[in-house]
Amino acid sequence: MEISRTDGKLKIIMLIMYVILSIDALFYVTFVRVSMHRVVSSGKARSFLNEVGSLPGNMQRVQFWVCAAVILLGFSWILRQLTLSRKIEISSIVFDFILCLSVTVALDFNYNGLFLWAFANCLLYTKHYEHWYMMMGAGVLIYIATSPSAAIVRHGAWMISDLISVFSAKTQAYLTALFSMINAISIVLFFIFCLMLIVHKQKTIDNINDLYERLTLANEMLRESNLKYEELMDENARMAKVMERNRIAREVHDTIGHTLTGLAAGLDACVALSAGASDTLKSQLNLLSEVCRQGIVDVRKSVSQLRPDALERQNLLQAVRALIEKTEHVANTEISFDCNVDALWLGEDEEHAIYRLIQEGITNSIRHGKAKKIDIVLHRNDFMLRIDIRDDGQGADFIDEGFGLRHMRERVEMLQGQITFKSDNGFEIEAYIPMRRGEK
Amino acid sequence: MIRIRNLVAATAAMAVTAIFTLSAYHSQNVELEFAMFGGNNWDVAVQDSYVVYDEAIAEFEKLHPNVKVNYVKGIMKEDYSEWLSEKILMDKAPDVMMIQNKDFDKFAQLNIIEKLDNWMETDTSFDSSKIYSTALEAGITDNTQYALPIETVPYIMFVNKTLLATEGIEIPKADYTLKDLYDICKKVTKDTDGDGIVDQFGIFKYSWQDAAAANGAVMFSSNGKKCNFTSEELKKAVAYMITLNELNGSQAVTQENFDAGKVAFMPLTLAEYRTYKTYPYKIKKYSNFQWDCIPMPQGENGKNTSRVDSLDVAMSSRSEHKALAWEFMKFLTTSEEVQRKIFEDTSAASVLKSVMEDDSAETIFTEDMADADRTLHSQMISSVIENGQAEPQFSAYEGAMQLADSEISELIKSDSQSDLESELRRIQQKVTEYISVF
Repeated sequence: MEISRTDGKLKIIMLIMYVILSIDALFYVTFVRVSMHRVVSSGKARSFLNEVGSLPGNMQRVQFWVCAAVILLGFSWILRQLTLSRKIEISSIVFDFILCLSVTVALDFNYNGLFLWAFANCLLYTKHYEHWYMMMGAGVLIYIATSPSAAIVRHGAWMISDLISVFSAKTQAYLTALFSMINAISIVLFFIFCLMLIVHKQKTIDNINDLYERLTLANEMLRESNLKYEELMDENARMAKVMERNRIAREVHDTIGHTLTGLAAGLDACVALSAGASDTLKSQLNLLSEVCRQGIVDVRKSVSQLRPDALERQNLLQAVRALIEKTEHVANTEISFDCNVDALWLGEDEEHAIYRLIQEGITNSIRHGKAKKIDIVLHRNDFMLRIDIRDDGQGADFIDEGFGLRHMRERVEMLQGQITFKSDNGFEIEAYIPMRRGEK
Repeated sequence: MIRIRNLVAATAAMAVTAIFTLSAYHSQNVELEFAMFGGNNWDVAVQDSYVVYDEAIAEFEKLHPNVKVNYVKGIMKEDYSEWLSEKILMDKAPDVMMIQNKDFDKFAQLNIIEKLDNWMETDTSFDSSKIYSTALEAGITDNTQYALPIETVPYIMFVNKTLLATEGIEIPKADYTLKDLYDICKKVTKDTDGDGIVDQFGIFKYSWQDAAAANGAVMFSSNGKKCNFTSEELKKAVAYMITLNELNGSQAVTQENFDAGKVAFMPLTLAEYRTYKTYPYKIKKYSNFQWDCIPMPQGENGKNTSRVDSLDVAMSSRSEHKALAWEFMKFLTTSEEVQRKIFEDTSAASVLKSVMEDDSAETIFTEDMADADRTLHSQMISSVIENGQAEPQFSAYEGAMQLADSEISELIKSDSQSDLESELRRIQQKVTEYISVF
């Protein structure tokens, strides 16, 4: 969305303004020429000189200059439409003011309507309105100082009315009306322009506000994403740690465990072979065999300790069952587990999410709900896995999604699933997770 | 970018060359427009008014070989103002133009004519002291010199010699006073045919302004912002006019009385004097009696102060050849040959003291005059002009003077000597009010 470029409707009103004001200026100078010829041809030149306070200049030259100035104003406007340079915009507006002043002076301050054009351009290209009062003051000052009435006070210049008075009474009335109308139209056009400019600027402001709102929203989302990302990074790091520990455990199990097992078997063979040997050797071999077996047990224990979580050691269902068993044992809570599948082929992330969901659900029920009984259901159809955790605890009058619940929701939504929380004679968490395509 | 710059430079160079060529061409052939009217500024008949200026122009063109001075023949004095105004409105004002008194203020006010102060100061060859200051003053308005005089005409006093001789009165000497004038007027004002109506008078057309000038009364400040109608000098002048007017009783003096030789004195211009004293006009007017002219009378503390009129030339403020226009104006005003020719061929006087006081001037002055016993001579005219009083020039002058004139004339007719002071104060107030508007 461009803000500085001229709006289409504004362009049209400016074009109208340009054309009308230019015609006005040219009309003034042409009128002066025509009526001067009339003065001269009617033999009233001397009495006309008596009436005027100063002498009109060479109107042929003035007419030429007004034409030239109007064309230059047009060029300057077109230049502003084409350029993007602020410097050119400002200097062309200053140039416009000089042109307007020169035309007004050439017409001996009888017509200063062209200044409205310069003001309009000035308003249009102003970007900051902090000094609006100075702009307004300068504008009013220029307009009043160059107005025909001010000119009379200043040096008794000739007036268009002096020239109107050389026509017949009837024509005079028409001419006076015509000139008032020209002035009125100029001012009305300027007024319309100002209104349209205000509307245009308001639109721009609205647009900016809208953009700002969207930006704030995006920022908020970005912040949340960041948070998630950080969590994910933690998770990843943890996973990497787990995998590494698993690998090490496997290594230890496969290498040292294998070696020790071989060693133990070898030692047993040695014991059998040493039937005829001395008792000392036998007892030494038995001792070695014993140490070796102890080593195997120690290695197994170490390997077992290297695997950090039940889930990492077992498949999901085993892990859940272990969790339930452990919790029942620790918390003195009865937990039922209804599962209609024997095995689930799930991705690591899915398993993880489901395990955490159940773990969090149970923890919540015991910690917040003080539940005595928890029913967990894990059912699967062709496309969907349904997990339902219901307790008989206190529930909540109003479900405020704290970190725990939000975390659950996010986990489920990351898997394109849905989760609902209900509190009705206890608390219920119900989640649906779609099964991935191409998997069984 | 470089291409555009080159293009601009080339265009500028071409423009400069064109301007130089044009201006060079111009300086080679300058046409100076001069505006003048035919006939005569002083309302007297003249035979060929263009001869003097034709000769002056030819002389000027000889001095400036590249210059051609053009003027239009046949514009009469009555049409001149309108014709000139049309030229001005069409922005075709002539470079140098004769200016009539009625146009001078307006044209100066509208800046149609150039201010000359600067030209006069910077031109070392121009010596304004050679010109009669009275004549020069006529070209000043609002303290600024706008025009230079080329001809000047003072007012002098016509004397009916036959009438004075019949009454046994001598022609007054050049230093006669207002009182002398009154005494003579008193003597000659009478009923000659015994029908009970006064039919012989002392003076005709003598105005309170003449009396004021004789007394040295100054009514306006030079910029026209202040007026003074309560001065002792003016009061005396008005009082004098009242007594002078009382002599005629209820009778009003007319031009017929004067033409019939029944009036002793009348102010008239030098131009009228020179015209009607010379052939062929001599036989047409005032031929049934002997007459001559003397200077205007002196006031109590004043001098023989006459009103002095001038014909001026001015330069258009929009002229493209101002330097040349100035040269031409200066030539007309200060060239002794031109000024001598003007004195010789027109009925006016020269604006140069040196011309008027030269021996040859006397010859010019007497040339066509038969009367041997003339009182007036060139030297005397010179001093009349020198001591004269130019009419002040400022925008409000004409109106203010008309207002004052109607009020004071009324006052003189009403014979109210007693409350003269309060009346003059009232007039002072009125005129002040009038000029304050300008």
